[in-house]
Amino acid sequence: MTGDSVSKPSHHSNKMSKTKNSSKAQLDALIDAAVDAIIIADDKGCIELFSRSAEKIFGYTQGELIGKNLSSIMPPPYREAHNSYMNNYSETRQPKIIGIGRLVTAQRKDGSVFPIELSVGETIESDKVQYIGIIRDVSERVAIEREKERLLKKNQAILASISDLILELDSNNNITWANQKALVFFGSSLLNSPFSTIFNNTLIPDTSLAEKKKTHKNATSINFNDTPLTTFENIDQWHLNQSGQECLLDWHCQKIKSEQGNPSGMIAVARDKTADYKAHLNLQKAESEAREHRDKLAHVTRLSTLGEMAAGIAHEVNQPLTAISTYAQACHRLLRLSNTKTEVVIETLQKISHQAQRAGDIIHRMRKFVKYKSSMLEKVDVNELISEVLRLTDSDIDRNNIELKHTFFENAVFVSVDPVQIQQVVLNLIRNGIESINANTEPHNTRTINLQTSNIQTIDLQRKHLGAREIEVSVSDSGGGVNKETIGELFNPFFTTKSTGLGMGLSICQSIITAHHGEIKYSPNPKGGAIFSFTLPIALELDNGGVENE
Amino acid sequence: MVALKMNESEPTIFIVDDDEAVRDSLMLLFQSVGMNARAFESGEAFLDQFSMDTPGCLVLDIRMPGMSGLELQNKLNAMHCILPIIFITGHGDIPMAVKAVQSGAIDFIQKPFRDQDLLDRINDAIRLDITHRQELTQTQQIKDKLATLTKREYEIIMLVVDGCANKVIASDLNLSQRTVELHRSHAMQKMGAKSLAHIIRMIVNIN
Amino acid sequence: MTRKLDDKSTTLNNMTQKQIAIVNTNKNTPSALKSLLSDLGYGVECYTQVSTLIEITKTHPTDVIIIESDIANDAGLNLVKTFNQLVTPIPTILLTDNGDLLSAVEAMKFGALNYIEKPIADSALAKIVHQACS
Ligand SMILES: Nc1ncnc2c1ncn2[C@@H]1O[C@H](COP(=O)(O)OP(=O)(O)OP(=O)(O)O)[C@@H](O)[C@H]1O
Ligand SMILES: [Mg+2]
Repeated sequence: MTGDSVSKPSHHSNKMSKTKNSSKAQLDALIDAAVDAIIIADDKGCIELFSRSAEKIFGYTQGELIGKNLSSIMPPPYREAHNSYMNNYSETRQPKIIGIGRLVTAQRKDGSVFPIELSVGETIESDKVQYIGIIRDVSERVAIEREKERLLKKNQAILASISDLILELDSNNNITWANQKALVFFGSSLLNSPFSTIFNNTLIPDTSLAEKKKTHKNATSINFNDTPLTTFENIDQWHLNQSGQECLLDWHCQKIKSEQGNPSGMIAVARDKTADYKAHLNLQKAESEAREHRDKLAHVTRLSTLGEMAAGIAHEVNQPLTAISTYAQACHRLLRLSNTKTEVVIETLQKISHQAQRAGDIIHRMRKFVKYKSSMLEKVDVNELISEVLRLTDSDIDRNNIELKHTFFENAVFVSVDPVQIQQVVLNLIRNGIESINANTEPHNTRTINLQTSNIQTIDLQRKHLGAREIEVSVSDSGGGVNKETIGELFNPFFTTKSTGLGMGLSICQSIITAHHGEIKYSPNPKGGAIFSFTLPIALELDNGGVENE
Repeated sequence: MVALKMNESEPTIFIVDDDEAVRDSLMLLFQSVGMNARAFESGEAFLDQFSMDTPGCLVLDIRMPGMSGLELQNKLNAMHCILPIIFITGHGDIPMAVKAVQSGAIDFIQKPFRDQDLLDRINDAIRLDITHRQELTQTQQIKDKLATLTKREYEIIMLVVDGCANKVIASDLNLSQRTVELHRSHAMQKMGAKSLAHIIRMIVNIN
Repeated sequence: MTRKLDDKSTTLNNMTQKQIAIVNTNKNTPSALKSLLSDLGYGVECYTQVSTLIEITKTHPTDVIIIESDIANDAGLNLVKTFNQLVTPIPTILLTDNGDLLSAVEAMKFGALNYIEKPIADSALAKIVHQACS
């Protein structure tokens, strides 16, 4: 048998000698019936008995092994060492295996090695020493144990590699176990303390945090009196970790059910969302910077547009001023006449104040247009919005002797937009139209600009239904149109074909419309000239001013 | 537009401006100084309604939708209308002003204006128009009288104006000096000329 | 600057060539106008003194006078008036860097042929001068 010990014949003689035949038969039956293999060898290791179970376990027949040395059923290197073990035992009588039982390995006839549990006894009868080995094939048990071990290791590896903090709570909500991440985060004092001490110990918002926390659900405090804890999900809390950093943890809690189905504890998992949160903040910041940038650019170009329109606006303001001045001077003269009726003077004074109002309105409109404010969405009627632009462009249109026609969608159409920016788009398109008409040297050049608003239905591809209603605003002119080669460049910043142009007009229009979830495009006018049109999502009726751009 | 009784012979200020308030205030101003005025909202409306026979002047806005002030001026020139034009403009651009004066405008005034300046210009313009019209009437009258002369009388008067003595005329036309004298005095009578100098002035006038 | 009246070639040229006088009282700026007009085949003389110009025109035929100035001033307007009141008036063109409406209207009323604000395209200027000469 294997092992590091060799049995030696003992001096104790046995009372089993000179047995009757019947007891011998009983013994044989016993040996054959035993599940465990039984092998008897003499003090030299020579096999004297090889039970039926042994045949089954080792794959040898009794006949093949009787008289052979025990080493035949041992795998190397024990095979070679076995004799010396036995000799050693004979001399020292120091048992290494006898009466002890050990887990060792054996070798089958087919050469395969397998684990066995071996216990060895010895009998000494009339100086004849015999060793009795009882062998159990434990390969299955060992395999199960190995699998268990593997699963355990696997779980440990998983737990170690998970970045979440994991806590196990008993039914009293005390923390009984924590993964490495949790231990590092909260410190090892966490074990055996009540879950509430760490969960409810959220940060008291300091100044920097107060800002962050605004965007988050308020810190949750869980009442731990009602045991056992209920399952919960997605509770965000700010905690301080062991190295003093503020961290946003997203908590989930799940019951563990015992075999009987009773809750036997909880698993609490916390995910550190600080990085996500910071990324989110950065994204927000980047977005707001982009918006601010767009707003500023839009503002600057509005200023320069207004600068170009100054002549026309001056003219427009001049009209009421002229009327005021003339009325006043006429009044002055009338008052010097004896027969002037007071009513005439009163009426004229009213006209004066009305004209002053008119001049004021023009200036107000102009100031509103150039005033800088970061974009704010308002729910406005597109038609109204455009009418306002037309009041701004009136003098330009007249001065350039252009006929402006407009066809408005019959009902009010509400959109959630930054009114000034959308007006700026319309204004830019009208001005481009005027410039294009002026540049057109064809002799029979008509001078018209058509403004149209129309309601369109687009198919929402994602939802596969008619929906996403939009309003389309188009500005078409009778100018020279756009050169085919340059169509692709129209909306590029600084693309211009004009000696005094900056090339920012359409580029700004595009960024404004895109920011409003719309689209702007160019198409050639079948009647000659250009059509620039843009879409805007129609605001849903129900909301009270909020945005619902779908 | 303030309705005023139109009097064909009384000088009238015509106002053409698209801005209602400007028109109305001008009407009031002219009314306050007792002047006859009519206002029109466009060049087209003016062309439709004005009469070439009415003396006065035209106060014209440059920048109007439709027909511009300069276009109206060109149209009137093409019609040989002699009505003096005073442009009033909100935003004076130099090329426009140059063009306007080149085309015969009396003045080009920026809005808003001092009432007295405008009134002065208008008075100048009206006076000019009246003189102009009188001259036109005078030449017409002379032409009419000339038409009443016989061929011979006309011949003789022209030679007289050229400075020929009766003797010379007689020999030139192969007439007796007496006959020339007779024709000459008939002609002078028909023309209503009191002296040689007078008839000379008349003829020079129509040329 | 005086013109050599006895110079035969000049005299000869005068028969065929249109004569343009440029007055520019701003002495420091050499007139780019002169080279432009010379290239176009005009006889061009520049004057910085108004009095010299007036003297010269008494004896020397001049088709057009161009009054170049950085600002529109009374001196320019007076010149327009002066040349317009001659027995045979000489057409004047004002060319200015900083024109204003009032002086433009005044100049035109005084009988200027044109009042031009710089910058002006060479071709446009050439056209105006050509018209003034014919
Ligand atoms: N209505 C139009 N018809 C023909 N061409 C057009 C029209 N609108 C734009 N374009 C072309 O697109 C170019 C870019 O237009 P954009 O408005 O961006 O700049 P710009 O008008 O040249 O200068 P600015 O910055 O002053 O607007 C123009 O120069 C012109 O060539
Ligand atoms: Mg543009």
